Amino acid sequence: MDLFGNIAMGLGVAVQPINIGFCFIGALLGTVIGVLPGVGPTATMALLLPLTFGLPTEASIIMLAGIYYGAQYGGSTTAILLNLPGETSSVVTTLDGHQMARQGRAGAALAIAAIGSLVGGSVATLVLAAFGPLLTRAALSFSAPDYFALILFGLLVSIILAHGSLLKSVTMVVAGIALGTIGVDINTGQFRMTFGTMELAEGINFVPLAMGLFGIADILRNLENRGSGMGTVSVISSLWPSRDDIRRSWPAILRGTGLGSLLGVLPGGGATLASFASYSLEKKVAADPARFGKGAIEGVAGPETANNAAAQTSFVPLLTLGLPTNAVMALLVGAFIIQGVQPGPMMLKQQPGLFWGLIASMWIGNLMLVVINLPLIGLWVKLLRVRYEFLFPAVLLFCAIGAYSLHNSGFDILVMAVFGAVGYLLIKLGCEPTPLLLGFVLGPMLEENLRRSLMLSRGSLMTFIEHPISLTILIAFALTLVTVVRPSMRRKRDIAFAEEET
Amino acid sequence: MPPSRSGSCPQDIIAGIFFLVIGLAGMWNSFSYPIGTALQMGPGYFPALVFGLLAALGLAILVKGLLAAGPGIQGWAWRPTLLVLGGLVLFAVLAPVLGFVLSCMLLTTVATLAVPEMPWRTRLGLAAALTGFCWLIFIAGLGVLIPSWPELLP
Repeated sequence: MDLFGNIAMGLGVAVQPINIGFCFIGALLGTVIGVLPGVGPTATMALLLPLTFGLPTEASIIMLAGIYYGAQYGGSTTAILLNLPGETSSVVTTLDGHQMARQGRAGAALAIAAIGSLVGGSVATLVLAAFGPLLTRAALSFSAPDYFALILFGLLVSIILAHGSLLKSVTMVVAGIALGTIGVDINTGQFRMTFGTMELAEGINFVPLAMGLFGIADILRNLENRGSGMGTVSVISSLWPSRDDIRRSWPAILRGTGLGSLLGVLPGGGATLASFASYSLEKKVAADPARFGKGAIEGVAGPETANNAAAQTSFVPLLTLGLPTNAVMALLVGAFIIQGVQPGPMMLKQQPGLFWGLIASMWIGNLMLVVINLPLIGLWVKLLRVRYEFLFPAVLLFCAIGAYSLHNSGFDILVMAVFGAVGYLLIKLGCEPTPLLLGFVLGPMLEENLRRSLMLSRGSLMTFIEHPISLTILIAFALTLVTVVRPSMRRKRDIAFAEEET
Repeated sequence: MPPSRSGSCPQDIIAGIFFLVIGLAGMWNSFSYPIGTALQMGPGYFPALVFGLLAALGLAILVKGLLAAGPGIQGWAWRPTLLVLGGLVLFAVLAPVLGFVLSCMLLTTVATLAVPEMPWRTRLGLAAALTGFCWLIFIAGLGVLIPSWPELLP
């Protein structure tokens, strides 16, 4: 089937009333929760994941994708209005977006962010639709050593993109892989590290782990900071960008689309890398770079477009290789598996309706975001003012009921509470939990592919060098590693993260 | 955060010890399973490798913390930690016994004690409102299998 036939089939799935309905609900809920201060996209997804359990497979995945876009857009809204980025990918939006808000141009910033997201998202969806099947065919020729090398590379990139010390990020990835070894050993059926409990036989459940590390730990941190104030909400005058804004924005939107689509595909890359790269690109090509940081609209248009485009193309490694490249994709893997679908190269063949339906619903989801968000900005601003002491008990209740409903037992709540405490401790120790989550999801795949490779090669490590694909990836791995540990590069990375903290 | 005066970094020392202990414990536990060889890995091979690596990284962080000055750990919010986590444990244990309504009320009430200045009327009102809202979504809407009320008959 050709590309357009496939997209038409996908649209046929996506516009079924039930799917379009859940896409809408997802985008709306995602925005509502994502706008709440202190709740980023990962926490939003973890929080709303249980809502999708009872739905049909297609509807539940489409709703989750809707939640993701909504949460991401909600994060940009708080970044612009409150100078509070919901997650790292909207950090650069605060630089110029919040400056615009302080000049009373928040409406224009929000509108350009929405339009940029729509353009970037739509084009990137086309890229995904065009290259997804090609990559899937390539992925089917991947052997175990290739997967092993690819997963290692993805983990390396996630380490580089994490905040703070490299040593601690490496430790977090390894800790995640270590947690992933808990449960039945797939090759021998032996119970490992289960402390004699039946509940841990299938390993630590991903959902309470994520809700604990992100949802509960965030509650504890926010309760500690209470009283320091959540910032001020600026006044919104006109929603419409001026003609000058549009003239300045559209080239930035086009550049952001290209850059974001490209960078999103990289394992471990995704939205954060894309928005940072786009901001520096805009600053470089601008006629007057001094305007940046003082409310330059290109500084909002470029990164917002790029992060949405990248958010879309980061589905590529997930859908074609079955590899999640960031925490949100890792959550989606959890959702796929709960629905009984194994994401990966076989998905396109076995579930073409789901694959193309998901892609088509990304379009519809993006369109809905614009429709939902622009008229409702006034409402979001009101939501921003909800006091945290009314907010956190609601988040807590959602987490508790969600965790309980996984297996109808309190055990998952206890797991969630433990990881809430661990997550808070990690924040205090200066360790970012995102690499841990990725290590946890990718760890079992890493082990499986390592064992399979060595079994096929009769225990020889040379197998990783003898396979051309894995050799290429390992060379890229080594080059990246050398670049990162070079002192000049380390300084650059420190500066990049220092900028975002101010 | 101000660095400590002794030329060490308490944050890194604690982090290092934390990961070192977990790594060693995990490695020790892994050796209780068959290890096997690289060709035919037993269930203990990969965990021993990973937990060993974790211990080594913990040691590295510890050494770094002892040598270089850095931030300490500040402002652990004990009261919220205990109340929020305690509320969750209560919910986990009591939900099958007390039913949905009472355990939700209990969790909200205990958790909001983390905000001591909240008036009791607000606290209980909030608990009732959130419980009703969640009941509509999860019990009526999604059909989560928690009984609404305690089972009075044994």
